[in-house]
Amino acid sequence: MTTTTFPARLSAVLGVVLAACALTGTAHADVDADATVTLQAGTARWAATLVRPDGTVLTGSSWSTSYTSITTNYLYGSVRNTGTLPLAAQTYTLTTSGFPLGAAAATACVNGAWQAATNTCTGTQVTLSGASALTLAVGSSASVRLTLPAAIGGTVALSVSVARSQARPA
Amino acid sequence: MTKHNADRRRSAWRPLAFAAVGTATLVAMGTGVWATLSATATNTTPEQVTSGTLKLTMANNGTGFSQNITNMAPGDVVNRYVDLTNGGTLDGQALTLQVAATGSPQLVTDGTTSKALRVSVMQCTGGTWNAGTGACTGGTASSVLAATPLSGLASAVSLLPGSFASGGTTRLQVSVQLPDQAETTVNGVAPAGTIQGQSVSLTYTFNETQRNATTTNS
Repeated sequence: MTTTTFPARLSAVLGVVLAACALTGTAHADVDADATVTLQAGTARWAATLVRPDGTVLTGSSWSTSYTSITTNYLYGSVRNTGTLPLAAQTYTLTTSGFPLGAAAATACVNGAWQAATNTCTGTQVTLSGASALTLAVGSSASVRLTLPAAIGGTVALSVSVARSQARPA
Repeated sequence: MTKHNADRRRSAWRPLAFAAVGTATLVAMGTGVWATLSATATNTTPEQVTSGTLKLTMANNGTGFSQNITNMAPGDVVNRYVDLTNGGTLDGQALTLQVAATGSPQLVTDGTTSKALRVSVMQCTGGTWNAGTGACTGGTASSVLAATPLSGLASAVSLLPGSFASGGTTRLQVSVQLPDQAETTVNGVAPAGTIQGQSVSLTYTFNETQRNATTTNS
């Protein structure tokens, strides 16, 4: 059996009251003032994507073609700046498999376009191999020719990557 | 004999009865008998007591916080300028800043590398910021908050611990920086955990508290 004496009860009641005052804090509340504003901050993207001759944008995959031919052939596509920063360069990787009789190549036509009928560039040719200085404004494209050497069961694949250092500087 | 005894008993009670009646009469008349004099003094003009006010307002200097920040590349620094004014009648103190950030977590909290957005604050004392050039004209620029990841600003941090006088203005340069970093996209696809194409919503809250309470004698 528990017996509570009056002083103990009084102490308990006072304790509860004091705790309530401390929690509500009204007795000693200071005045403060806020100034608040909200805005959005967004980051850029630096990216380039190859586009097939039929217009298919190859996001997430390389431009790859498998073929057998006894002569050299050409495919005409493009590379597009799909980021939000202007690009000064990109890095191209060209792989060949099968039994090619020659070397594959990728060539851009700057300030012009490849003419499939004549296999000519109306601008300036830039070889796309490794880090290549090809300037691309946001949303712009450059015409690209893929050279397919004679091959038996050959496969040629071109991919493009963009490093931070190849986009506009900070 | 019997009559004589009865008369004697009646005579013995008679003084008590008179005393009781007298006392009752005095009690009934007591208010008049025991009234005291009193006097009061009152101020003829009521004393007015008013409480002070504490108001913190923010004004853009140049673009300020009126426009969103877009298309930040690693290494970019965006400076915005705001003027904070203590427009109340009370002096303030302990100016703080809290930035509540919601959105892409990689822009809020650093991972294994420093990827999160950073905020730093400079003050121009005795002059004004030129929002076009970033120069503190006619004053002295000093750092009041070193570059801090957004996650470190979820709780209020101190900017100016000292007094903020009533009517005073503090001129601030608030910088948002995306740390420099290397990311490579392959065939248009950014790597996992990229900071590219991300966004956060930033709510800046500047706060001041009242000056210390005082006791005055006059």
